[in-house]
Amino acid sequence: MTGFADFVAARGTALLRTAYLTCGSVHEAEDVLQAALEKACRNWSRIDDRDPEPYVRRIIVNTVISRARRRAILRIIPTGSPPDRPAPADDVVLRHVLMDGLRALPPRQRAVIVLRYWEDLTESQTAEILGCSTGTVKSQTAKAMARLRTLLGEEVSSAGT
Amino acid sequence: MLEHDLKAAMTAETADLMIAPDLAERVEQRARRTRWRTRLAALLATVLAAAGWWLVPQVAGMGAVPADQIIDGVQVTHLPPGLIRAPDEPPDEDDFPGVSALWSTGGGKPFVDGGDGISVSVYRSADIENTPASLDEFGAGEPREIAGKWGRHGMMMGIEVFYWVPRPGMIVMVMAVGSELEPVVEGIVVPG
Repeated sequence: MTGFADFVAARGTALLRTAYLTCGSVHEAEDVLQAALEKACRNWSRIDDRDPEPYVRRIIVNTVISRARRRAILRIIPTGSPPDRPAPADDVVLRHVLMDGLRALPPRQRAVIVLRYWEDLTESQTAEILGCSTGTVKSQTAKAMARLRTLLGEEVSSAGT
Repeated sequence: MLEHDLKAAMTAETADLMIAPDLAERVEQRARRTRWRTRLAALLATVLAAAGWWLVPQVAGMGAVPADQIIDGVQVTHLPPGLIRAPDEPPDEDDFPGVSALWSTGGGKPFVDGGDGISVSVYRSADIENTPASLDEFGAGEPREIAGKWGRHGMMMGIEVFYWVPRPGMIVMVMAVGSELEPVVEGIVVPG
């Protein structure tokens, strides 16, 4: 299955990064990516002739949302842990505030932000991946951005005091 | 601009993340194993169905479980008195496709609106195995034995949860609010 191996070599890291940003944990991102790729591998003969990346990305994002929802039922919500490597010195506060804010968003809002501003997908592409309307994408984006702006404002004012 | 700052933060955050060089190989091996397990399970299901064709009429009528207490083939033989079946929710669409049934006081949603309730869910996936890793992948909770079944148990916000793997390929999850969980778990029968 050469095509599959080539696809993983070319796009695996980008997909891993999307998975990480969506779920907030390196370990879970690797696990979700592997599960998504396994599904793609099993159906490779059917998806090989079109671009498989949107298919795999869709599995990743929806798997992360479903797992988060299931954990919410069990009331064991991952708070996400920062990566165990040192952050670069520049923009360190802003980056940490934004990433903490991203991790604190509800799963679907987090996914919307990652797909819109990390993957640079349009509202309709994002809606297609999440299986919702573009109106929902717009409202979820607005809510998430408002929350992040509030967080950023609080951080700035607390840093100023 | 926040959008720009977000993208820059996400880029910096993920700059060091890389896939393992052998990822594709591992995934292909795992997919091959799963394919074989699925085929074997299908073969086994055919044999069991043939056996059931003969066996079911022999035991019919012996304490039969009501049809609305059979969830994806799993029988719920005990429910606390006074609960009625609530309308079905759409199933989750993820790597653990599941079917759920809820019984509650007044047929409402006890996990949302209050009241007592029991929910039984059956999740199927070729990836499910009766191992700690498989149970951890499904959710979280403390290892516990209830009614002779080893699984994971959690008790949060008044909701008691227990789930276990009665056989490879299947997870059964029971949730209880204001009702005893153990008799329901004890009364779960997984044919075959």
